[in-house]
Amino acid sequence: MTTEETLLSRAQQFEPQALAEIYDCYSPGIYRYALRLLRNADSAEECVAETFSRFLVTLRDRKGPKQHLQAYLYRIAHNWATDQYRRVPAILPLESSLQADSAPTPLQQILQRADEERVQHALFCLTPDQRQVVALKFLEDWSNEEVALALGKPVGAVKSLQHRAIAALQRVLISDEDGR
Amino acid sequence: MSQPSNQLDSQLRDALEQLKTVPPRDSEAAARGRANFLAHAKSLQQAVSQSANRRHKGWINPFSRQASLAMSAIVFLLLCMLLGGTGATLYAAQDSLPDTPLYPVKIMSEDAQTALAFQPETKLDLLLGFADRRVNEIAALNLQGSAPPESVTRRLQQQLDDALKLGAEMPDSGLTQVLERVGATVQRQKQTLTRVQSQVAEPAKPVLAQVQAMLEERLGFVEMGLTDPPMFRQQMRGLGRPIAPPGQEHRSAITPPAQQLRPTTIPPGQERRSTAIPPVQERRSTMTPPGQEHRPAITPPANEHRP
Repeated sequence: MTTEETLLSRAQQFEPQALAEIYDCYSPGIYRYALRLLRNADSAEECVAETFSRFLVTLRDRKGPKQHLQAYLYRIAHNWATDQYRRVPAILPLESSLQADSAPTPLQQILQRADEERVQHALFCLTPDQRQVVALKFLEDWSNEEVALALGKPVGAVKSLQHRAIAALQRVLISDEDGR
Repeated sequence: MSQPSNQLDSQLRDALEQLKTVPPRDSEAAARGRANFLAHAKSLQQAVSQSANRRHKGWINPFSRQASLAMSAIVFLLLCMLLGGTGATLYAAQDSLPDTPLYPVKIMSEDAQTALAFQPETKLDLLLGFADRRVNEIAALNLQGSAPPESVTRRLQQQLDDALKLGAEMPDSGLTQVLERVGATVQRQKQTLTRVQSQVAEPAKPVLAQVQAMLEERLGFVEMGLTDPPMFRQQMRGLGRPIAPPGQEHRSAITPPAQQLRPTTIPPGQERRSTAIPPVQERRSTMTPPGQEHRPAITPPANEHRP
């Protein structure tokens, strides 16, 4: 039994120590992931809460994952973020992320914000699988094998999805530029 | 075809890099989230322990409540087929009162509809609609000068409790919507009974008072669910006691003291806040748990494992 399987087995018994360990290990990453997708700190916190709440419910119903917990949690988070983006598409951009640069001028801030929105919009124009491949691969720097696990698809399919996703992103971004 | 794709690849990477920059997480919000998670886990753990005995005690009871509901649905459908022209009977039964011969047909049709409703929204609509019927029956009987039978008041309580339990099984967003609907329904039912109160005959008054107290208690549960969902869910797990007979003190085995049950004390006669809300519109899709298939072990990216 691997360490993760042991941890999951303890979590299925609702052992507080194991649950806390899982939360501490994965919640920071899930928060960052949600924030990158949604650009809103409150939504990202909500995504973390909902992801772990669903995880608990599946544990209670004896349907929780037996392995690959990270892939499982990211998949829940991704689905939630996608639903949230559909429900509230006009999410405010992160103001603090703009302030992170070395004192940009107001014009630079506006341009940067517009760019972020454009890329975010393009990302949400992809199919759910394509979007997840791009988000995990390029935003989270996961390997193809790890992305394949999260999607429950073979590595070859992930590569193919990635190829199509890049082409679609380019199309959307180019058409955005042409429309300007 | 692939040439332009390669040319734009670096631009695309630059564009995506913009999304990678995120500010650090608010430590207070993170600590709050962690505490909520552990509290939720604790409440679910209690749920699992409480029902464990029932789950693992050998034979599965074929006469459980769900099974009996399904059975009554089947019996009802069979009766419908056998009796042929029961459509008219069924239609006529819908307006029957508890002291009429057609009333059992009405109750059976309700049981059948509830048992055959698989969507939570549909079930909620049915339960609240049937609870409204019970209140109308109680009001009509009161106006006729007779006390409603205990089976009617018990059924009203059961239908409201089932609606509350339905909410308790949902995530917080769904729970709020359900509670607001139940709250609005119960508030309306209280108003209906208040309207007939002055015309009720003396023998029926204790029962009416009891039903009103029961409705008030359900409003207390709604308030609790809106302010403290984990406590509400815990309460719902023990719900199901029958209404006490008239004249006896109204004591609850599961209800906490009034001040704990109702965070805000509302003087008698004063209107509660408006709970009229649109019906449940949207439920979050529950995810099919991945990870069941056989996959190789995954090593998470290093940066994700260091909080």
